[in-house]
Order: sequence, then C-alpha cells, then structure tokens
Amino acid sequence: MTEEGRSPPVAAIARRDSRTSRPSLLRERLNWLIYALYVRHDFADSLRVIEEVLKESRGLCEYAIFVKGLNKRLEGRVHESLSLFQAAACLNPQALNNLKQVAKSLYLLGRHRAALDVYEEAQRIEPEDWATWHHKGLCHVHLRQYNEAVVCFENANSIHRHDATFHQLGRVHALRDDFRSAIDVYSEALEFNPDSADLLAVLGIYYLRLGDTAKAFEHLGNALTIDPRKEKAILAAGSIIQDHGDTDVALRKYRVAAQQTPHSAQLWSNVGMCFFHKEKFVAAAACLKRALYLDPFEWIIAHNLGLVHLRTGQYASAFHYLSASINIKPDFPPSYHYLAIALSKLDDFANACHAFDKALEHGPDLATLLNYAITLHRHGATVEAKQKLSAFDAAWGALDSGIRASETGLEEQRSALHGSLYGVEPPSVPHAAPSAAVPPSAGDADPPSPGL
Amino acid sequence: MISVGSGATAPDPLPPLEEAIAKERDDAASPAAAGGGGGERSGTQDYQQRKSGPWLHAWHDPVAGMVCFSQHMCVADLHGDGDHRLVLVDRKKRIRIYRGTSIQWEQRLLEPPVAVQCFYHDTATPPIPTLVVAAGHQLFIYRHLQPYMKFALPPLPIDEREKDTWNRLEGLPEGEGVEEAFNQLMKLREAGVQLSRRSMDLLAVDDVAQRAKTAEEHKGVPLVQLPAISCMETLRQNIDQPTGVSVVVVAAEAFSHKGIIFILNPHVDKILRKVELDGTPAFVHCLGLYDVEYRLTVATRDGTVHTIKNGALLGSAVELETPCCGLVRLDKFIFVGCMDSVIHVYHFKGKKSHSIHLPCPLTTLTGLSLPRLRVQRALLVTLNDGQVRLYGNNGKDLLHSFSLLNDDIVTGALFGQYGREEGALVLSCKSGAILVKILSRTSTLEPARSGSSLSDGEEATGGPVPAEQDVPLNIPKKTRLYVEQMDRERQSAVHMHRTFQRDLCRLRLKTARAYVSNLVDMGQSPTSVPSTSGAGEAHLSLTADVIGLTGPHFDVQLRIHNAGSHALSNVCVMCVSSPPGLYALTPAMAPLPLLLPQHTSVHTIRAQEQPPEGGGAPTGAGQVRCFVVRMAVEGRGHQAARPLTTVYVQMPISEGG
Repeated sequence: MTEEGRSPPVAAIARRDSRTSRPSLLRERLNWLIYALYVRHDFADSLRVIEEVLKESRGLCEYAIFVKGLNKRLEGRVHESLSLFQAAACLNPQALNNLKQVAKSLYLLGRHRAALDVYEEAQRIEPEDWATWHHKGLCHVHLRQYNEAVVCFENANSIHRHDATFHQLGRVHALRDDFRSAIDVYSEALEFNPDSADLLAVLGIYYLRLGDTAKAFEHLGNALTIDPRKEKAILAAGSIIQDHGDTDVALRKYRVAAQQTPHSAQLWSNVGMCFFHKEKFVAAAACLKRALYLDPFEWIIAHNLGLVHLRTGQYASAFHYLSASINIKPDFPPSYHYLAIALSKLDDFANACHAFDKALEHGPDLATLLNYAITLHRHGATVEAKQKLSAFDAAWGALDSGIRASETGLEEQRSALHGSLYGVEPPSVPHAAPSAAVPPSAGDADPPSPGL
Repeated sequence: MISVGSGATAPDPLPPLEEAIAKERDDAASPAAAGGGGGERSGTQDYQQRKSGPWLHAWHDPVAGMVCFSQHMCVADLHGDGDHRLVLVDRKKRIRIYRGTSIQWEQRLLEPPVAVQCFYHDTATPPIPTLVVAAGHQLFIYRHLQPYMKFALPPLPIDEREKDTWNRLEGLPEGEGVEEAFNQLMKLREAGVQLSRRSMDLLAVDDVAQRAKTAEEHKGVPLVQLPAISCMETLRQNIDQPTGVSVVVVAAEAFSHKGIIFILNPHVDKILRKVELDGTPAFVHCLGLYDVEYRLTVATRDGTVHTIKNGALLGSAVELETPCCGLVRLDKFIFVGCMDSVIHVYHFKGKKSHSIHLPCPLTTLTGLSLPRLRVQRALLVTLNDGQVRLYGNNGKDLLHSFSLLNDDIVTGALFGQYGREEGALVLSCKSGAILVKILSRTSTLEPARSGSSLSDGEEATGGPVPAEQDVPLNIPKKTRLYVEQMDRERQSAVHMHRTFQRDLCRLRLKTARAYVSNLVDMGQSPTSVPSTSGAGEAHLSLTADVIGLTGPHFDVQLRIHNAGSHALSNVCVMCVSSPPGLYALTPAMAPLPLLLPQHTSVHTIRAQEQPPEGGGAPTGAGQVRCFVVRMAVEGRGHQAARPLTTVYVQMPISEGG
C-alpha cells in the first residue's frame, strides 16, 4: 500500500503551521520528549516540559496530563495523580491506559473496591490485558479474597507470563499456608525464568517451611550462585548450614548478609547462635542483645538469649529472658523446659516443677523428662523422680538404637541418675550438667521469614 | 541562508582529533609517558583518566553546550573523504557538525528535532550521504550540507461520520448546531470510533458557550489529524554494506495511545509501507534488508515490544512490567532497558533469556559491534549516577565501568566511526559536555576480575564468592565490667533472683496500696470532687480519632484526659449513632477505669456501618456522638447520670460492601 505524501492539502497545512495558527499546531510534537525524560528518571525536566506543553495546549494535551500523573505518583502524591489520571480519562475515556492508571492510583490509596470497578471497566475495552488481570488480583489479595485473586493471577499468566505475577500467586498460596501450591507456582516460574535469584531464594524458603531441607538447600545454593549477595537466600541457607553444625561456613555467609542488611534482627540472632555453638558466649550474648534491640518482640531471640545465659550459669538473667519469651509465645514447650531448669538452679523448686509440668503438657520430651527427674531427685523427691525416670526409660526404650547411640549426653545422665536413685552409686553424683540440660541445638536459630 | 563551514572541502593532512588519538596511543603504549605530559592538557586530565580499561581518552569539550539523546547523534562520512563527521541536533533547535575536535558547521532548525539520521539514497561515487532530521510531523532533508527538501507525513484517516459532522458545522453561522455536533461526536466516541484531536477538544469542554467558541476557532481550518514523529531509524534496502542504499523508518504517535510506522523510499518522497500499532512507538530497531527480509523491533510507551516482519505485525509481543528506556539488538538478542533499573534480555523470537540488574536507573543503552574485536559485540549502559558500563557475553559479564566526574550524567551515547577511528564512543552529557573515547585496539574485552580494576568492589557480579565474605562481622564489644558482672551473677544468682522477686513483690504491693488510698481519699472527701456539679469542675478533655479508610468497619478512638487535680471514678462512656441505626456500636456503653489526674486513658469503640433497610446504597456518612457520664449516687441510693463532656464524631463516607 503506498500513499502520495506530498498531496496538496498537506502542503496547505504545512504552510499554515509555519504561520503558527494555534489550533493546527501539532500538539503531540513534544510527547516523545516527555516520555524520554520521564523514563530516564529526569522528573524535574520532564515536569518542566509538561508544564510548557500544557500551557501551550491550554491543558488539553492528554499525554502530558498522563505523564504528569505518573510523575506525581512516583513523588508519592497519589491523590494528585488520581485526579490527573481522571482528567486524562475524561479527555479520552476509550483509552485503556488512562483507566488502568486511575485504578492503580485508587489501589494505592487503599480503595481496592473502587479500583476493581475501574479494572472491570478497562476489561470491557480490552479483556486480554495482562496488567489488568494482575492488578485486579492484587486488589483481591488486599481484600483477602484469595480465591478470586488466584483466578486473576492465573488469567494474567495465561495471557503473558511475568515474574511479578508468579511472585504474587506464590505469595497468595503462602498466605493460605498452602506451601505445596506455592512451590508449584515458583517451580513453573523457574522454568520460564531459570536465572532469577529472587525466584530461587523464595522457592528455597518455601521448601524449608515444608521441612524439605535438601531441596531447600539446593535452590538456595543456586540462588547464591547467581547472586551471591541475595540476603534472603544467605539467611535461609545459613540457617541450614548452621543446623548441620558447620558454623564457620555459616558465619562466612552471614558476613555477606551483614553488609547488605546490617539491621536484620534474624541475622544477628543466627550469628549469635553460631557463636553459641562455638562456645564464645560473650560474643553470642552481644550479638543476641543487638538482635533483641533491633526486634524486641521476637520471642526466639529472647529464648536464645535465655539459652546462652543458662549455659554461662547466669541463671537470674536466663530466667528473665525465658519468661519474656514465654510471655510473647506461650506455646513453645522448650521455653518452659529451660525456664524450669533456671528456676531449679535458683532454688525455686515449686515453680520449677510447675514449669516442667507445663512443658510436658504438649507431649513427652526426653530431655525434659530426664531433667525433671534429675531436678526432683536433687530436691529429695525420690518417689516422683523414679516415676519420671521410668517414664523416660519407656520413651528411651522405644527409640531406635542408632538415635540412642548418638545421644550420648542423655545416656550418661540416665545411667548416673539410675545409679544414684537405685543405690548403685552414691546419690551426690547426679547433677544436671549444663551440656545435657541445654543441648546446644542450632535448631533454635530462627529461620528467616520469607518477607515477601 | 546556508553557510557552509570553511573546512568542508580542504581536509588537513592530520585533523586535530587524529592527532589527539595518535598522542593518546603513544601515551598508552609507554606507561612512563602516561604519568608525565599532563600539564599541557590538564583540563582533560582532571576530567578523565587517559586510559581506563579498554577506553582511551580522545577528546573532551566541557562547554559544547549541547545536550543530546542518543537519537540526536549520528556519525557519517558526509563528504565522502573517509573522515567521519559527528552530527548533533539538540532541543534548542540547533544542528551542528563536528569534524575532529572543531565545529565545522552549525545551523538553526525550524522545530525541536526528534531524531537525526544519515543514510545513502543512491549509489554514487564518491558516496555522499543524505542527512535527515525529523521534527513534529516533518522530515527535513539535507544534502551536501544544504537544505534539500521537506517531507510531511500524510494526515491520518478520519472517520467519515466525524468529517460530516464538522463539515455541516462549517456551513452554519456562529453558535448554531454546536450542541447537535457535540451530541453526535459523543455518540461516535461511545461507539468506539477513534476521534480526531479536534473532536476530543470539543468534547472536553463542559460549558455550552465555551463550546461554541471552541467550534468557531476551528472554522475554515481543514480537519486533519497529523502523526507526531517519535523516532526514526534507517534500514538498508538491498545491500548490507556501510554505503548501501537505505529506506527511512519513521515511527509516529497517531491518535492518542496509538502508533503508526511509515517506511519511506530512499529519496524520501514516497511511502512504501504503513503499519498501524496499538501503542505509541518509543524505540525502533531495524534488522535485515527491505527488499529481502526485514524485522522491526518496536518498543511502545506502554511497555510492549512488538515485532514487525516484512511489513506485517506479528502476534507475539513481549509485555514489560515498567516502561522501556532503551532498546538494543545484538546478534540474536534484544536488550530492553526498563525504568526499574533492569535490562531484560530476550531472544529475538520473544523468549526471555535473562535479566541484568543495575544498581540505579539507566539513561541510555547502546550496542557496540566491531568485527575486529575478540568479543565482537558488547552492550554499553549509562546509569544516572554517572557510570558508563560495558557488558559482554550477552550482558552476563561486566567488562568495565567508569564514572563521569562532577555528578554529570550521560544523556546520549553513540558508537561508530569518528574521524578515521572506527571504534569511537561519543557521549553527550547533561552538563552539555561532549566526550569522545576510543576503544583501544589492544583491548580484548575480557571480563574484569572481581573488584580489581573496577572503581569499587560492589560491581563484581561475576564470581560466586563476594568480597564481603572477608569483611569481619561487626560484633558489639563487651567491657570488662560486663564480664565481671557475669562472674558475680554466676556466684550469687540465687541471691540476685530472690532480691529481685522480693522487690517486685514490694513494688506490686506499693502500687496496690497507692490505688486503694486513692479510692479511699475520694470516698473521704466527696466535697472536693465534682460529684454534684456538672462538667464545670471535672476538667475532662475528650478527643476522638476515626481509624479506618473505607469502612464499613471503623474504630473510634476516644482519648479522655483528666486535666483536673482529682481522680474521677464511676465514669462511663456512652455512644449513640446519628442518624439512629446507621452504625452498630460496640460497646455502646462502657465503664471507664479510674481517671487519674493528668493521665490520658484511651478507649476504643468499634462502629460498624449497617446497610440501610431494604438494601440500596449506603446513605452516606453520619455521626457518632460520645458522652462521658458520671454515675453519682444521690440520696437514698438513687442513681443519677450527669454528662461531663460530649464529642460528636463525624464519620467518613463508607465505600460500602
């Protein structure tokens, strides 16, 4: 198809242009410049050109109004941007872009229902638009209508696949504690974008949530290969490494994360527990105290601090941290267990028994039972001590011999207690040695929350 | 009206740029010389290092005064003498040609230019290229540095019904038939017809009198909708050689948020092809030969990358999450720079390959392509913190990076032959400076070792072991006092614990006693408490906040401050909805705790907006009236309530639901 460019009417117009008769001046001639300045983040210049154009067009240049709205929204003036987009939509109600931006401003203002209405309208103009579906899904997430949100995100993905949609879809599944589905979503996203450290890190964290440490570690490792500074992945991978007792490697990883996020409470908590494992208690307490300063309401940090103080023999401090931890999270049996030990060391026998009972409410635990028995015995309650010991023996006997062999501390304490209770050895020997009473498990290190 | 520069026809044996480059080469070859000899060009020395990675510094003009985007720059052998000139246009309507380090020619343009391109319109010997400047809806063509002709893009087709409406209006006297035309146009717009700008303007006017005036302004002017050029590229017609004849590809904004691409013949007087697009083009990239097979990659302002193959728009498009600020094609890969500081790399058929994450937003994206290099293609990215980065291996390796000084930012970058140097990089800066660097002939463009040759350690993205791993953790130090305290606690933990528990008990006891005595005091001296009088003596202040954005649930938070000197007991708060029944208030009435003097107590009431009876939309905002009331026992155990203070809380409009 060809067309004669220099036809007479055009020439006439061109002449008119040169005499700058106002209505025929090409109003859109600077739109490219507005766009170019805006996308380069040169907002001041962009606004200057916009004002110029708006003045010249008596406020009727739709694109200038549109970009001004985008500018204002980036400045954080969402209300202003909303009225600008509404003005643009008023000039050209058929334009999908205007409606989409009106809806987005509404969404940012927290008016999710109103935003949804506008998106519906936009879909009447163009039903096959990825962004409309995606943002509709976001509105539904905020309205806690997760089923609708999932439908929207899936529609968006069926039109065009995007990392952002996968992230949101995964997040919705995670919000509903459906980590299986979240993992499926992220695995699919990875097929589409295999080199995304973000996707790999989140996938790893979800595997960790499901308890599949091997897979989690594999994905986190991949994430770190692509972006060795991904702090989310570092923290999650570090906690796994720490659980395997390789504290030096974990600490090296944390060094990288400490440069990225020096104010992360979880990071310092994990670092503290690494030092605890290495028996550097002063450093451990220092790191944990920094963590607690950064996030005073994180119960696990208080719990970890309690452990450190219990280990160093500072029973009064241990008592405080453990009771603080219990106040925040009352349904974590180990906290009661350790509190009981602290209390028993502080010669508060009655409360120690209360705490042991509380710890055992959630089901029998070997260390708790054994420590209970030791405490009872120390305070002369031999009959109850024998009861607890037999309960422990029953549970101990039910264990696999391999596991039993690995728990040498428990076995030692058990035989010592047997000796002293049943008179094989003098009764003064059994003393809950701190190492048995407080198995230094890095499992108490806090796995970082995915934070997505 | 044309003044041709004096140096145009008689080239010097060695132009200044060549000299500068030659000198740089010598300096770079002997490191000892690089240290000395800085005195004569100290300005340049301060500005940039002589040799930085693969770049040799060639020339720098800090006061060139031209701020150009990449599309405003081109290099071409304008006189067919093998000495490539640099052509720059800028927003101040200037066109300037540099030869070596001096300005050869400068002219005014009629309109702010959008883009400039050089291409060959026919095969002559020596080949003399054509210079074309795009502005508004026109193309200005220069040959031999003379304005040669102007080509205006044709107006866009306008709907017949719309034309009719305006034609009818044309014949009528002022003010007549405007309303009719307005309604007609409104109907057309609702029917989804793409209206011209003039009709849109009329529809945007609310005032009837103003409408007539607007309509009158347009009388006598033909109804046309002109496309506004947004970018321009050239595409070789049938021979893939540097001097091959090219066609001009012009992308323009058609109606609002729509686009159109014209392909013009090499003489720029005929439209060979026209492609319409859903979205205004922002960047175009051309590949192939027009007569054989070609592909246009078009990024639009709303963040979509379309492909046009042999004049047909392909169905598959890439949708970006943020607007695009640069488009480059190298080999089989398309690099799309986005506003969120990410460069997405796609295979040219649309499959995503990977992404490059940048530390800050990018300003330009340019492709480097030189057959003689070992790494033949590289990607040049300039960032808005002044960095100029070079990526190789399809953007996976960061090869080199340097920064401009004085917070300058690159606005436009161009790689090509300048002077007689085929690997020259021209950078135009925001301060108006022009900077020319040349790619060292010995450079292999190998990836930089992590942190060694880079300006700071942060950029090494290549290796899996980051440098931070060796930075020791900043562990808080503990004093000797702390350790001593630890020892003390170890020795006398039981004692410390007991002391603490005892003191805690004492504190609790004391608090309870104080509370009781407060109660007792009040009972003993009823005259001093405003039990009989009203609010006058009880100095209460009551403030209310509404928490909640859109309803229908709101929280009304009351802050009751007792400014008097006595404690108040037996006080309760009551809430009423106005109009009645609009809000369900829980609790509607609640006793307040003892109001201690100079103390603020906070009380929250939950207000749930009730749907009006019989359905329908909510009636709008109402009030919640809160009263603080003191229950007083008067004679013979008779209870009486006295209001102390009142507040009316205006509720926000609920968005229903």
